[in-house]
Amino acid sequence: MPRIGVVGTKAGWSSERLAATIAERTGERLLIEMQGVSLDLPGGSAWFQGIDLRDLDALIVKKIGARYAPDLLDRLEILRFLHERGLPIFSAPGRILRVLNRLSCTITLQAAGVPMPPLTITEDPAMAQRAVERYGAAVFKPLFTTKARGMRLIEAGPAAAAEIAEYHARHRLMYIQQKIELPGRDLGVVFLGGRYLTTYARRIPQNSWNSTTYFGGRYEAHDPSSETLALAERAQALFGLDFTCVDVAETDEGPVVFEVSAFGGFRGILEAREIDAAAALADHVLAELRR
Amino acid sequence: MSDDKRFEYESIHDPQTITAYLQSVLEGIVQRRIVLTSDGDEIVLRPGNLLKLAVKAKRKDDTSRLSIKISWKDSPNSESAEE
Repeated sequence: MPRIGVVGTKAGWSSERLAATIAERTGERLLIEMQGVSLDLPGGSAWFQGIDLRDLDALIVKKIGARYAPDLLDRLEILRFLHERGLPIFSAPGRILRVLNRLSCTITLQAAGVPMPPLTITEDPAMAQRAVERYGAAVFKPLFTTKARGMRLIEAGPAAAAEIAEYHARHRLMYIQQKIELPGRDLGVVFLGGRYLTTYARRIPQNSWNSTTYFGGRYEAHDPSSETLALAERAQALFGLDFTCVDVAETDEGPVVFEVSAFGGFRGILEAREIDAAAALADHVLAELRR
Repeated sequence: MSDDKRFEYESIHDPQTITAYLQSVLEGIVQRRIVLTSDGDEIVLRPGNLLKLAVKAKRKDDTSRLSIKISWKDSPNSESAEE
């Protein structure tokens, strides 16, 4: 049986599930938290709790930290070293790097002509103000973030200049996206090994009394239009990830992509579609290793 | 392994959406079981009989802030917050 480590976060729902799924198939459960890994150079051994990761047959990267930060790029560099020395890693760290940075992901999508909400990238507060005036309202997004943390909505008007100055003091390069009206939900279109797996929707909450609070929306099944599916397929193909979720909104002007994510969670897929993405990914990796 | 668990969420919404979130949190307090989930993260809290409430409001220049903090001690025999 191959020895496969899962890079993830302890107590993370998807990471734990993937580690348990791998254990069912290989008999070994190994959940690796990157903060516990050390790389010795130039020898190239990488240690986690007494295990040299070079002795494994493969790694699956589920998540490389609880929060998105430039540190995560450093952690990916450690994995990139192991990958370049021949350890199979799913997805390849160099490919994850290209989506993890919001700017790098955006530039790749835009260069390929993938429709996204109108966007301005600038370090100049005056240019930022012009963008806000043109858009009416804009969302300022930090370059490293997850689940909308640190985002700021700025509307055109007399207060905009001060709000932009305050944001600019913390984020030199400003990523400014026009606020677009969502049709009550946005979609996660999921691909495994470059092939379409399924789609779920995050429904923006209604006034429903329920003792579970679904921040960011509740997961539902949704079958995307063929236009949406073709767009998501094209967007993910630019990155070549083994498992990926394309965030798409279906607007009146057609579908637009917000981002391509390397660490889409498994829970939405299970709740909305009853598909076990951890099992699907584990089987994909085992099949790739047998090839 | 530590029992510490945290959940964070931050976003921008219209007042109707925020009302919907707060209403479901209120319902959780009434039922003594609050489940917060967001894109794969989940935490379950079990409010007890006595809760501490702290309210702070602040207005400075063009920014206003309202924070409502509800805290309590979990009794030792209560179920684990992690499910």
